[in-house]
Amino acid sequence: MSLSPVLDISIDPEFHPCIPAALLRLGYLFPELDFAVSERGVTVRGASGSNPARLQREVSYQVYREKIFRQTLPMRQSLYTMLAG
Amino acid sequence: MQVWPLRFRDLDDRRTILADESGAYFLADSGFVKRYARDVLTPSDKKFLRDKGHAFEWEGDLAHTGFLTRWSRRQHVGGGAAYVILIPTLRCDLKCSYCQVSRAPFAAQGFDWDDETLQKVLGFLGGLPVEEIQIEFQGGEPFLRLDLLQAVAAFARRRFRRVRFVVCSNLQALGEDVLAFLKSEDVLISTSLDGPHQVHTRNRTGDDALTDIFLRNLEQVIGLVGLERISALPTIDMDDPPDPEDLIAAYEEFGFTSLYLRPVNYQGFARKSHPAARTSINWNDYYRGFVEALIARNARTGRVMEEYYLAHCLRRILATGVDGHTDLRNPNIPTGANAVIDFDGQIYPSDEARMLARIRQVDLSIGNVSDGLDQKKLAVLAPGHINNFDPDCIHCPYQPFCGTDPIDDLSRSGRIDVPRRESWFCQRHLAAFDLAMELIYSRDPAVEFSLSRWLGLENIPEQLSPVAP
Repeated sequence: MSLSPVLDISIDPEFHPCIPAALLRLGYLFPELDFAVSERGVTVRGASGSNPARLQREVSYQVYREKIFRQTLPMRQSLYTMLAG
Repeated sequence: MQVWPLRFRDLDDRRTILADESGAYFLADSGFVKRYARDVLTPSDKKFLRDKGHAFEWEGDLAHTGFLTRWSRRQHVGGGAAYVILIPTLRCDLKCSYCQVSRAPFAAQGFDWDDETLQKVLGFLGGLPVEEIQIEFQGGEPFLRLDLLQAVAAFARRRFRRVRFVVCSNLQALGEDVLAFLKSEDVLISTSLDGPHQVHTRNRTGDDALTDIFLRNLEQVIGLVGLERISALPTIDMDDPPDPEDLIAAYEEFGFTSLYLRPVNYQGFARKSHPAARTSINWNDYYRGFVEALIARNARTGRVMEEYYLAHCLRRILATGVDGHTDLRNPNIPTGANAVIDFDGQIYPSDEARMLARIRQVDLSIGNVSDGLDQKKLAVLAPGHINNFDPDCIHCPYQPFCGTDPIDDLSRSGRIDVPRRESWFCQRHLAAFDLAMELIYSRDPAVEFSLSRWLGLENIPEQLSPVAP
């Protein structure tokens, strides 16, 4: 059975490289939903019972988290190198 | 300026908690999160982050060094003191429905240390590379083998510079010899009080007369050693939980000012008699309701009762190095200095691990008193006891205050790689830390009354509740 698209979430282009990793995480956090990369950002299928504003925020947050994680990874590596050897 | 990685989580629709890896936290709105993620922080955002220690100019400057110091103090590295749980007997004179250790009957044989095991336990303790130790006697009912407790105590007082004993007892039988043992200043007592008489009877004794005996004994022991050397905790049966007011009143009756709310542990006999304990889905609601009732009652009566675990979570948020509770620290690497020695001499990394072995789910023993520690097994277990690199925890603002419990994950899910949010440990602690943060940022006088007293402060300084511009 195909799930009709119910939510197309626009994500700023600067975040697009982070979307695939964010979707991987969203997929296991919300196994009842189907996430896919779209031209504008992310399409969520099967979200008929979800709060759209809440879902949009969750998707944005996961993309933000992925970007912050990538961007700050060298700082974390440096931290662990300095303090844990 | 470089900003240390910030993790964030919505407290509600308007407020988001952000924290860095050193545990420094603040409240902001979602606009701040957007600006941070998009690298378009305003000058006032940057000033705030700099002032609060979330940023630095270059490696080695004061802000950078300060962060490293705070981060280091957040890590539990162990050493210094040992904490060992000893099970001299698995026999018990009660048959609690939720017994998590699958205790052995009172008259059973083969469930106590024999002389050889005792000597090997003493040898193991003697070989620990520490000068301070806390030894907790559990069971079964440890006082059924007072002679073994006395032998361990005599040895430990000679061997260690500082020693403290905790006896986890049901206090059903108090002979003169037990009372004499309890008189020593280095002996503490931990017991169970499940609430009003009828609740305690239903959960633990199954007999009104036995409950009467326990309550009389509890009063006698408090009179003997004082409240500072005895603690009690209720185990909550979520199929029929006590009314919070009744539970608090039962503790106040004995003069207790602290209680530690615990759900039935999904271990041992509880698996059959309390199957709902596996998910404990109502626990977080009950816990929040209890804390709210407690805070309201404290404000109403002017007396102060704390819920120990929430107070502990608050202290872990607000200070570094609060690692005294073995269930909540990180890393929590299993070592011989932090172990459980069972009635048969097997050594486990935690009490829950011995319970899993007891029901034959998985053997997580890390050695035995005859052959010593199994270093290979310790190495296998170690990575699961660190939350710093967990794919969920690395995005969680509560990671620096939290811990990890792979043994509980194994117990409930049969594996340790369940997504954090699906694990009972994570669900419980997200709820507890959310609640703690709500209390920290509350301006309700009733909340401030309880919070300040739990933390030993005259009032709650504004610095403890920073808010981004």
